[in-house]
Amino acid sequence: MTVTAEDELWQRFRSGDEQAFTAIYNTYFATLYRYGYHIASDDELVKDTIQTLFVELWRAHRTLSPTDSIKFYLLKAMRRQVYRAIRQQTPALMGTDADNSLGFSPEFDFITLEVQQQQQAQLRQAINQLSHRQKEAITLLYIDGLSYPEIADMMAVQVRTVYNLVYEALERLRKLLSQPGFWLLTLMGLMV
Amino acid sequence: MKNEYSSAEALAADPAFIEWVQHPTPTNTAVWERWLVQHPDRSAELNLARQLVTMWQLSPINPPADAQATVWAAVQAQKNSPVYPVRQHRPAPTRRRRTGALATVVSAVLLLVGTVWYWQTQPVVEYAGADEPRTVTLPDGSTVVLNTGASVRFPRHWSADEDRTVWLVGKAQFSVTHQSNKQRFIVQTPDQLRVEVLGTVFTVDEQERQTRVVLNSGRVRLHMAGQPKPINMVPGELVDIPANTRQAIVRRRVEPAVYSAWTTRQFIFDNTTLGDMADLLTQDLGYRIEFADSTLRNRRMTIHLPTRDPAILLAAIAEANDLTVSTVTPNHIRISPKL
Repeated sequence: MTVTAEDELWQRFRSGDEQAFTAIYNTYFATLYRYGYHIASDDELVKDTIQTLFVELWRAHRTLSPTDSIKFYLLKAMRRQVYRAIRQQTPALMGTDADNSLGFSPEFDFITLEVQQQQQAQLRQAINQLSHRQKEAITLLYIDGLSYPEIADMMAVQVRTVYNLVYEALERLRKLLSQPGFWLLTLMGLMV
Repeated sequence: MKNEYSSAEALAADPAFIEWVQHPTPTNTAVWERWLVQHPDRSAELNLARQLVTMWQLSPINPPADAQATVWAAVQAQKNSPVYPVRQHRPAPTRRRRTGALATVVSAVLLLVGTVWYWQTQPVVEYAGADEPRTVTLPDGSTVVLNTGASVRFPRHWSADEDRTVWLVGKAQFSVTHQSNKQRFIVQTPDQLRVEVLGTVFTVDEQERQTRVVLNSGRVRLHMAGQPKPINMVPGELVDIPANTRQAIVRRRVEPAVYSAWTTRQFIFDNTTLGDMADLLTQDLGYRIEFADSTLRNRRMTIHLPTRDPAILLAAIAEANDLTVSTVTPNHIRISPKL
């Protein structure tokens, strides 16, 4: 979606257009679900959260501020709501170590990569060694397509910190990948 | 894009590089190919950076099939009901207040019933996003894979004695469930074509100039406006129905997997002419492809690509046929014999 189309869609939603509301829901449901699921690993909690998010959005549509990225706006709201829902569900986690036990810990899918099972296990192990924040930053960058400033805003850190999180995580993974013979390089022959 | 990247990590962290790997266009491909020509010693790092970006695949990739519809139904039911402020200490209600509360409850229930009734009689319209195909499950358990930009409309429920009719705009692949009472399944397109189905897999590609139907398996009958005799299709058959009724209807045998490869985000071409490949890039991805020599259109080749990446496809076509692919504008490609 282009910036102007997105801006216009959001304007229409703010003025109470139900079609625009439906279009926004249909466009971003999968993105929000995926993101929420990788924080909470709980289908029901994520669905409830998206439901609350959209009911609240509709009720507040007149008072919402303009945005040039609906996806960023929704993901940020989703993040807040998911953490709130998790804390409400498990009040025992409230406290100083909450951020260590809560966090972005997705499952990975390497089926599309042409690597052996043993290499998939190595990849999984390497990724598991990354911190929740590193995984979240890379996912927001690669999967959700947010910019560095947007990720920084979402995770409440400096842009420089996001860059460091991404860079350090990639450095670890690169060390694994550049071991001799790890990859079966397939398509690159055609490209280069 | 910066000129110097100190390492594969630096490349893989760069927004311009990520954009190219994930959404290659002739323009950005040209930019990075030029970069590689200037830095021939960096090709291993470029490959590594590419792998870093593409390996980041989360699982599950998609939400459960019914999640989107279920949550939407709940949002619709709730979004207009009045909000009550949450009170920590509620005083014991007096008699009058209790009547008031009862009236509120009754009206809230009526509103809810009304909303649910209204919602149940409304048809459902599902759209695919701009980036990737989307799978929609219909009330009878049949599935529709909508191509980017396509939409499908259908009622929330089908009773056993009515046809299962859906309205399609754009391109979609249908996998239709077989019902014990032989209930008919009908795809209606805006140009008055009706596709009648008995448990089967097929693709309908509704376009401005023509509608194309490809049957993978099962049986399908086409009813065209102004044509008294329907066409009975057999598996592996393609039928093109031009919007202009004076033009001829084209029927031919094809490899159906070629025409449903878009549902799995791949490119599959079996002994396909370059002309047909060019038409597909034109229809699905908005490319304009020009052949310097029209006989090139009739060349055939077989190619299976695991990613739906037009830049790689064009590179492969050029490589296998000894052709030059040049970019006139980002979406305007010219294919000519190598000089």
